[in-house]
Amino acid sequence: MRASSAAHGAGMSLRRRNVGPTDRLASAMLGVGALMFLRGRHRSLASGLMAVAGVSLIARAMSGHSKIYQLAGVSSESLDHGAGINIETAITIDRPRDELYEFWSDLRNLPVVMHHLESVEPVGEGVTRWTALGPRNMVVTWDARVINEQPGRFIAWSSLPGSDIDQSGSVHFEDAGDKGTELRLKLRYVPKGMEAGFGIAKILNPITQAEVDEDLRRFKRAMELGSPVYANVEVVAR
Amino acid sequence: MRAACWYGTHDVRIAEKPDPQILQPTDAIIRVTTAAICGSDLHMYDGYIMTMKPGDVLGHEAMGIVVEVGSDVQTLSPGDRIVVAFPIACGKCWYCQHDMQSLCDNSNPNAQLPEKLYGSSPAGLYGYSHAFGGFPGGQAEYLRVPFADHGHVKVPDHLDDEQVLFLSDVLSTGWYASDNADIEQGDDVAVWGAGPVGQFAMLAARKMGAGRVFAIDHSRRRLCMAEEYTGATPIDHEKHGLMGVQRELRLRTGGRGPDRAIDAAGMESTDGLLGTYHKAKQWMRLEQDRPVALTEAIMACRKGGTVSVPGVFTGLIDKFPMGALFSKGLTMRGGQTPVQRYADDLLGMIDRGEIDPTFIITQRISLDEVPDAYAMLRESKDAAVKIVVKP
Repeated sequence: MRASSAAHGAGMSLRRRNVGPTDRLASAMLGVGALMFLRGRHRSLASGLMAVAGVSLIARAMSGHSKIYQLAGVSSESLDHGAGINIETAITIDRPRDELYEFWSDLRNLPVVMHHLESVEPVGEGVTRWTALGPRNMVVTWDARVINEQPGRFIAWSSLPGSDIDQSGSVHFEDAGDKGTELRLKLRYVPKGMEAGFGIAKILNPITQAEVDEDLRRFKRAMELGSPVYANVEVVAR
Repeated sequence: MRAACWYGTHDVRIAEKPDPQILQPTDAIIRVTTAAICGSDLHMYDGYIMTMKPGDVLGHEAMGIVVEVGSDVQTLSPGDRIVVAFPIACGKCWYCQHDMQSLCDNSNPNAQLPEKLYGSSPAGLYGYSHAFGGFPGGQAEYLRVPFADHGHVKVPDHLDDEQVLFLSDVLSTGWYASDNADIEQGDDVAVWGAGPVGQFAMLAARKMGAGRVFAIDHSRRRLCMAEEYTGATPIDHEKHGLMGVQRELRLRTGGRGPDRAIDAAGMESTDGLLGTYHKAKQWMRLEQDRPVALTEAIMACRKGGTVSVPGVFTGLIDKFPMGALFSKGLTMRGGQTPVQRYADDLLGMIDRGEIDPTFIITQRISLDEVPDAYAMLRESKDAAVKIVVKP
């Protein structure tokens, strides 16, 4: 959960922001909707309660703070941007499921697909060491382990506790009839703590949804064609 | 080599470009013997297609002699005479295997660009901007043919270049247009735009059993050509004006409207007040494509009919008559043509003398004359129908 240091500074620690942007928008719409519904209606207990609810929804939308969420100890803020990078993508590849699974099940192959990874090497007892390279050749390393796996179906991994970064991911394979196999990839990078988090977010800057989409497209072409596609000489030279 | 290159809106020049090379083992290279300028090349000439870069080689209708093949090419050898299919198709993906080569999953190296616009990317195309791959085009002395095994039609020596060249695009596209229109025996078919695609769509409609075929255009020359070679009834757009064409079609089809409506004009259709309105918006970049003919086709089509769209659209349109499409229960289809699907059948028809596509040719020029030819084609639809280039 992310606390706003600005809020602390203003002595507003009791009114920490715990309502995410989507939640705030939805609250505002519901609140305004409730009040509009009540316009010109007779007063009753039900409409009174609805008015209270409408006003408090609008209040929480404007402040980004929910007393109820605070009492319950939850927050919807991380649902939106989270504190990190969440990427999810899917692609259909015209190859048998087992063949794709085979490739991914050896985690050492992952850097071949994903450009932000430099290497994934086994370091013993089911643990792999992952290295990612960021701008200015900054290196981030963490250890991970496969946490769940069903041969031919899915693989899920997660970084070990105590790493600089919480990294987890999974890849699912599903038959798509004569279209081949549907591959679905989830990646999550959560920085540890705020300050370090900003640093790591910067280091991992090149990991974007578009990057990973493109990585998977290259993987599809490698599997279906055995090569990338070049438009002209300049592109090959680059 | 020398090639016709795009340098900006209304700026096509002949420039010296590096000879193409085999970049992948599935490539072939041809010496272009005949190429053509397509109506859709005007979209780039007029600056309506984004992601063009100065120096890009234009042209997606070309044929020639194979001069070099990559090590993985199975079906071609140097000396073979081929027509190049304008959609680049890998031959391996699900779309290619299901005869939807123009929707190839793998041939566009810049697939992420159309994905942002369209949700997913169609096939790569020759000489048709970087959004469609950035492949050099065929209005040049040489052309690299990627995935050569899946992108050519081999032609026998006894057929002339001009007889078979249009397999590359406009002939196949005309056939695809009528195929997409679901033409049944005796159907009334109206075709907006009597350019090369429209002419071949009318010819195809005839071959597919259409009853009455109507050609709608404002060029006398094109209307006469349609009447003479496809037996279509000409309807002069200029004479009838906005709404007048619809009325005319209704009068000639017992009040129903044509069973099948084909928009072979696409995003650059201009006629009437509506055309001026859309042109102004397009000029102000408030709208990308002008849907004048498409709007009219939808309005004119009979209830439960089919609207087929071979004319090119690239972006967004306003004032789309969705209510008419929905309320009249119309079916609409479009897309770039999977040339590879039609080529063999059409080549057979040409070989047997059942069709002769050369009737659309109005000019034969050298490569040096290409820049002027673009200007001429832009200037007047009466001046030219199809211009073929001998590099």
